[in-house]
Amino acid sequence: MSTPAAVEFTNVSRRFGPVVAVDSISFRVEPGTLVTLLGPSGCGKTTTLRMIAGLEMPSDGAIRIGERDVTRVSAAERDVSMVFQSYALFPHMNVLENVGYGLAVSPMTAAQRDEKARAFLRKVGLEGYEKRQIGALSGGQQQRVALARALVLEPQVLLFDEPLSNLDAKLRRRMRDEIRDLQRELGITAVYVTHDQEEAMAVSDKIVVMKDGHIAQMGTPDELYEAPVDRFVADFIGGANLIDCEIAGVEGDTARVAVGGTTLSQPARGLRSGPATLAIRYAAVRLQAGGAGALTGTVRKATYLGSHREFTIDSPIGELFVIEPDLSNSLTVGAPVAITFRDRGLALVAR
Amino acid sequence: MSRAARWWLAVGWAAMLLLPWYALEDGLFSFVWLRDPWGEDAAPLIVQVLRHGRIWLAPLLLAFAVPLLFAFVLPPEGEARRRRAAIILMLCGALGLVWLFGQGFAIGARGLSWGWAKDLYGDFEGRQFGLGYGGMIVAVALLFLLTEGWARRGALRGDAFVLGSIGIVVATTILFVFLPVGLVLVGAARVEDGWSLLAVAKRVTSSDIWSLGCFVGATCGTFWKTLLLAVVVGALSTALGTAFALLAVRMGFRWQGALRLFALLPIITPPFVVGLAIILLVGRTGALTVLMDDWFGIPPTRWIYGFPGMALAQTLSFTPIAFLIMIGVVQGISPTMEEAALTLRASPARLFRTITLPLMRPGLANAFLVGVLESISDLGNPVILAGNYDVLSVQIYFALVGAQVDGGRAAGLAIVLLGLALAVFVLQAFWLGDRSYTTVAGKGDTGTHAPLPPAVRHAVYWTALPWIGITIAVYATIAFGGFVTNVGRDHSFTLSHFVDLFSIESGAGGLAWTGGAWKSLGTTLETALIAAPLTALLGLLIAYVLSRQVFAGKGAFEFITMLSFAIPGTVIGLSYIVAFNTPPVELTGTMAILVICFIFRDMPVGIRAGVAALSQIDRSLDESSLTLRHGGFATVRRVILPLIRPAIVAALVFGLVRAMTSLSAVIFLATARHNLSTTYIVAQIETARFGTAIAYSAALIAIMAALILAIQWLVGERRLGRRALQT
Repeated sequence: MSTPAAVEFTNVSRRFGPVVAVDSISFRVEPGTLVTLLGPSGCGKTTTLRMIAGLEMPSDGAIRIGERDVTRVSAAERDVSMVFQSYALFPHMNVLENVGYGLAVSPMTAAQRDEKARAFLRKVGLEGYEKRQIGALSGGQQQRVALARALVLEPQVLLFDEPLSNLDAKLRRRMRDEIRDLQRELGITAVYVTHDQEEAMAVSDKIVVMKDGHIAQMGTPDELYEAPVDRFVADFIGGANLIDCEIAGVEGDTARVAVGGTTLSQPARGLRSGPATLAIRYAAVRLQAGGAGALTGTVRKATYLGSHREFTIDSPIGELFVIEPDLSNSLTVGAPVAITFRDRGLALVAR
Repeated sequence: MSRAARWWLAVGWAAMLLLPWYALEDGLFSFVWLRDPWGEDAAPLIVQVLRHGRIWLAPLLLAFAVPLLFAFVLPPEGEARRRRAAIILMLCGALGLVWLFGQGFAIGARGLSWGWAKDLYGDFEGRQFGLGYGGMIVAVALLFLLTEGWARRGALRGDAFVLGSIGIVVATTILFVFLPVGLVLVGAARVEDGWSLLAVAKRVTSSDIWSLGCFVGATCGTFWKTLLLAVVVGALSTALGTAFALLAVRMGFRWQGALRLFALLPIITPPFVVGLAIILLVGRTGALTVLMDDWFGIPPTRWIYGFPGMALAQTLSFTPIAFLIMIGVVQGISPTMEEAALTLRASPARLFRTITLPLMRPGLANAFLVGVLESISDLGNPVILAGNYDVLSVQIYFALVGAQVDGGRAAGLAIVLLGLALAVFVLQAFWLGDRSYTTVAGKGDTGTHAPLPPAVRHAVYWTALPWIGITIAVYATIAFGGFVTNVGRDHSFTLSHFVDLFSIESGAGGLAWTGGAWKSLGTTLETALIAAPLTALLGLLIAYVLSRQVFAGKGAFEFITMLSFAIPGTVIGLSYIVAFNTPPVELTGTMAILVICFIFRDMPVGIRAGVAALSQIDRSLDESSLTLRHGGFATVRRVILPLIRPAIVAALVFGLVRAMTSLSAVIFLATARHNLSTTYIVAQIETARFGTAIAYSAALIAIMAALILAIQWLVGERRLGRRALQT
């Protein structure tokens, strides 16, 4: 078993002709952790992953895996393996041959290779499927074969390129837990690409949020949720109402924020007096029927969803989208409401 | 230093120390050279330098010594040093190649090749011959050192295999396509006592070629005649091909299998055979001509020799190609669109005019241009049917092998023909390009085609069915003509033609192959069987690079690889004689030149088949193999090749068949020692031995059909694929 290695990007760029897919990014993945590259399509996350794999070469900058500078090293010579979105299982080989494929270049004997491949098939719960053809497997089983095929090499770094996007919602939830459990059990370094922020939050030690080839923010899931650095991260991670506000003054770390005639106290997070944006989580808005208070509005849309209710509110500070976990709060369209905010779920970001 | 770099250094050293540097009179494998392995003829490079005073070869030793120095005396440590080592490898490879070919062209069999060099070094005595195995292997080793170093610097994702593939393809294409064609252009400037640009201008603009005299009662130039024939043939074959395609796809024609056969037959028919059959049917003493004379008293004439005969023969030959193009187009028209038009109240006639026809238009243009290209490149039919109607390809042929040999004139004509062909090719590649409206999306397209309007149906029947009749008559003539004494005059059954060609006698020394055809048939089979796998290999390699790799200059790379398909065979044949008659690459009269000619003429077929097959294999399959520790070569071997086996078969079959039916290029390259079936048959026709010619042609067709069936049976792949010209 090779020891898990750190992955380090230093000012890495990748240009395709005039298009800059990745623009001078730097980050470090600590050994044994799972880091997710998250962002909307076209943000450069997949290109970044492929540069770790060696399937793309950076235009500038340096990439290190562990102690080694791999910037110009081809994919086959890097100690990484990858699980593909389409699984990329070889259709002309059976399950065992697929899993043993990467071992063929190692100095092992055929018997040792087979045994190791079987052991990893057992790990992903596919014992007894060794001789099956790939076409005879379900999507979830194919996913497991792809996982076993990547794991069997015990790479320094394991890469996932949207591995769950071809599965249905239920299976997706189960597989992401299994991937996380296996990664923890093996203590392997993993880099994971997805555009699904819920999936990212569920599996990651750290998340790198990317936008237009840049890193918007890197941090643990709760850091990103509680303290987004800008409007984009606030909206992309968890979703938020982005409301214009004015910072009236800053004392120490606390800012006095004027929004729609009320004043709130919020952590300043380095912002100074002047215009700013308040990111208000959907569940951080409290609604009360009646309509008396500093901030009031009217219900424009109300949706009942079984586990919770969703409201769209017209208010002086703009349109607010609200998730109400309390099912008994049954407001109807056109009803006046008083709006207050909970203690958690608000964050000041630059406008 | 990487394993590959070490290996190529070792190969280079071995070739320089052990293998004969220059080409050997008797070939390497005769081993005659072992009698005097250090003599001037057979010595390897190092001995040539030390003992035979060919000091100008010494820098090549340096190209292989410097990387060794950096590998073992100053082993690279650290990233910067490693990068420097890669650059040194690149430089050694590149400079070595430049030096190798530079000295090869500079110093020929008669000393210095260039006048100014003679003036500078008047007392230089060195002379040398064409490169042999030693030289060729060193050239290859240098090339791979260059690409290896390049890959080490991170080019093409560091994949040395892919870079090496591109390197070898570019290098061989330059050597075997660009260099020869370029030398033809230079050849047009040659006059008796040197070079003259004026001569080029004179030859290329000669009034034989460009005269418009036919509008004032005289005759027109060759160019206009060639163009007129090509346009007529292109239009006719496109119209007929479209009629057949509509018949096959849209009219529920019953004998689909027969139509397919009709499309495949010409692929295994040597190019002049249709012309020959036409002579036997309606020539001055043809079977039909004689009947007409006997029954209706129509006197026999020579009307078939000239424009009508050639147009007929070429249309017969190329209609199936148009059919193959148009059937793809007609099948690709989405029924949904026609259904949409029907629900919008379009009548069948209006629907055909406003929807079906416009959707087919790019395909029609494509088929037309392919027909034009085929017609101007054709030598086989014109050479036996042209009469007094001159076309460029025949003029080139007679300028070289006719009564008055005039290489300069041939080169001038070749430039005009090449220009015409390239113009058509460029028109087709850029103007049409991807302008196809026929997309088979694979989903939601489950409608049925609208019925064709009655006028179109009738037109299709009245063109297609008579044409089938003519085709059947032609092929019946081919099938039976060899079994009668003299078609048209004496229809008594005989096997004498076959006996002349293929007799075997058992004599004192065992079996004696006494038939006249055995030797040419043997050479044909041997060269085709050597060329076909190499053609397929090279074609598929290029297909892999084209469809899987992204690199600067890829468009240009694709264009030059397809270009060799557009260059008319006569031009290629002529250019090979010009280019490979002198050192450093001396191949004239060998079998190798035939094989190389086949490879570079037919490679685009393999490319098309490979690209089509690879586009169906998801790219993530090779990427996952790459991340699973397999390099480019291992990935190709273990993942790609097993998945594209049908394309391999198609490329093999077509490489084989096209090599066996090739005429226009090899007619210049075949020699008495290495004669080919097609050139043998043409010689029979030229001496009016039609019976023998038709018998040999029929036998050749039968052999090819048997080979194709055997390959298909071996692989169990029913589909023959299309002649992957342009789709």
